Amino acid sequence: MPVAIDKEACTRCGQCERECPGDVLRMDPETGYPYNAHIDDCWYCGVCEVECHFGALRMTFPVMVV
Amino acid sequence: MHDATTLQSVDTDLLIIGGGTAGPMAAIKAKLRDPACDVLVVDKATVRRGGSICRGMDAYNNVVVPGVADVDSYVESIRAMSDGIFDEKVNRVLGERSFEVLRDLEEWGAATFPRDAAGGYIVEQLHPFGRFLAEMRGDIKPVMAKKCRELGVRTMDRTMATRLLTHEGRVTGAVLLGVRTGEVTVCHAKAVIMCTGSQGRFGLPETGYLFGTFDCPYNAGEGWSMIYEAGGDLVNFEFLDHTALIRDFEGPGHSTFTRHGAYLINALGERFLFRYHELGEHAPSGLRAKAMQAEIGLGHGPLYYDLRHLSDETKTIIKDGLFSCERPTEKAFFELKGIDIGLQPVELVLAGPHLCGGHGLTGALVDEWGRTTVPNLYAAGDVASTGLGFVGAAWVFGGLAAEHAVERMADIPAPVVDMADVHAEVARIRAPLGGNPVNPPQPQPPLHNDEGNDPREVEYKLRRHIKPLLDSPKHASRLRDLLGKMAGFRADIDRIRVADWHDVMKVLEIRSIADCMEFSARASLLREESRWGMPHTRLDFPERDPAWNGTYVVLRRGADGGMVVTRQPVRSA
Repeated sequence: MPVAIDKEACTRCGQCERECPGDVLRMDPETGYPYNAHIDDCWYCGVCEVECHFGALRMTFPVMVV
Repeated sequence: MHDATTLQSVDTDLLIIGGGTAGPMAAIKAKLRDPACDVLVVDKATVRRGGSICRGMDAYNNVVVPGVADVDSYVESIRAMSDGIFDEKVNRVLGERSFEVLRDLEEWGAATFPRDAAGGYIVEQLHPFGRFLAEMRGDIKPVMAKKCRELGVRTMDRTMATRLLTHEGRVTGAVLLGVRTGEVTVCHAKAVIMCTGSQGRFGLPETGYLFGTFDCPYNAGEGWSMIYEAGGDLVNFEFLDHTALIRDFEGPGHSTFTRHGAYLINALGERFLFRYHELGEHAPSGLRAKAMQAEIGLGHGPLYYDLRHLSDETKTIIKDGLFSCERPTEKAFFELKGIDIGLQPVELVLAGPHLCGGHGLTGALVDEWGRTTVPNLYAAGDVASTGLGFVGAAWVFGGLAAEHAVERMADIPAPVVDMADVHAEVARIRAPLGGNPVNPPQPQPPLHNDEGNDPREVEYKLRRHIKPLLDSPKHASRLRDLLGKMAGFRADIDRIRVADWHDVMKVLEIRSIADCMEFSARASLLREESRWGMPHTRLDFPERDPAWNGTYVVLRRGADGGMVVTRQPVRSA
């Protein structure tokens, strides 16, 4: 998965879903946590990392790239 | 809850399609000129983070700083870099207005421009005849988005424009698609500024990863498809841009490295570029790319950036710039790969081809106000052909287009929308659904055809034909071969299966990729000469032909719906 999600740090605020330019991250309606919904569309820009105020997201890059 | 089967409607004075770089500037300038003007910005991502500079940018590549450079030198630089295929008036006004933009960005707190010990801006040389590249820092986008909000700009995030609407040849609005909801909105607008960026998903990256591109992959050339369908002129689609990028990451480094003195070397450790051009690493980009291609063809690859000889201070400056904005995840990438860019050669890849008005010459034909050939339609940024305009063109022409539109707004009649056009577009958008009704409150469309094509496979199939058939060195036989395949590609697109509205957006994007392939192949066929180096080299017409000096290849939609490709003189100054 291009973005690693730390569920212990995540507050389920939804900011990552709101701002991911590629619509990669969506909130799971059952758990309330974000997940990689469109894993092939990640530009590894890192917007998710800077928009998360809780340090819950980390860019791990698509496997084809690194 | 909105019903995805019914149409919404929104009215505005000025519709700005794309909230990336040019778009927010256009919106701000429009409101500053006339606070009463209603301005609506739509973006398929968000105005806060959409577009090419979602993480900022490390340099304002083309600013004429008083006392450092002059407009004449800027114009002559672009003349040389575009081999005369450029509009002098457009580039002169860009040079004249560029510093005002820098001051605006500083005043608004959107960007900072590092100064040297004497207090002057740090301005370096990228162009042949002067220093126009100002170092830049800052998280630009959220500040611009906030300023838009403060000025009363309306925004619609997660909204993709799919088609411009026209009445009696004038633009009167657009059809908008909610890319998460499937909601369709008909926007009535007196004027429209297209700010959709370049074609970020064109040549296939060597990794094969479709979204691993230099420029924003969410810019899939839809602006050009829309302008073309509305009857606008497109130019320079035979100009294929290539960029030296960090291998696999396909991110920037070239400009930062070379302007601070890094070398380009081959696998033999040679600074090979001097064998091809006296300026070496600072040769014009098209000639530099051709030299790299030739060197790889000789078996002297891979090619590398070499920073080892630079001082520790310079290496720190480079890392500070590279890892703080534009594509800062490059830092994590190098760490994962165990690469220290200051201690070992950094492998590069010659990526592309791309189509871009910022890094190349490709785009909608515009004048010095950003006006396209369609009344009430403007274009700004990478979607416009302003001649190697980089980020400066986005800001300058975003502002000029907005000011021009606002000044004329009272004279523009109320927009008239033909609902037959709207319904035709809705049918086109919903074609992948196979006509199945989408009943509220369903968040996802039903699968149309579980035997249909995977959108990623279709996109890969299209894009893997670009390098072998369309890229330089070109030949008429390969270009015609590509054109012969287009009908099959479009049939593949029509059979894409969709699982959600995100996939529906992707179908529209892939259609634009196909459009851009056809635009480029047809334009390349008409220009029977070689020019600009790698951007347009023809095996069957290997020489530069003076008869093509100062001449565009223009694409436009004919009255019968077919593509018309003609040659047209570049406007004289």
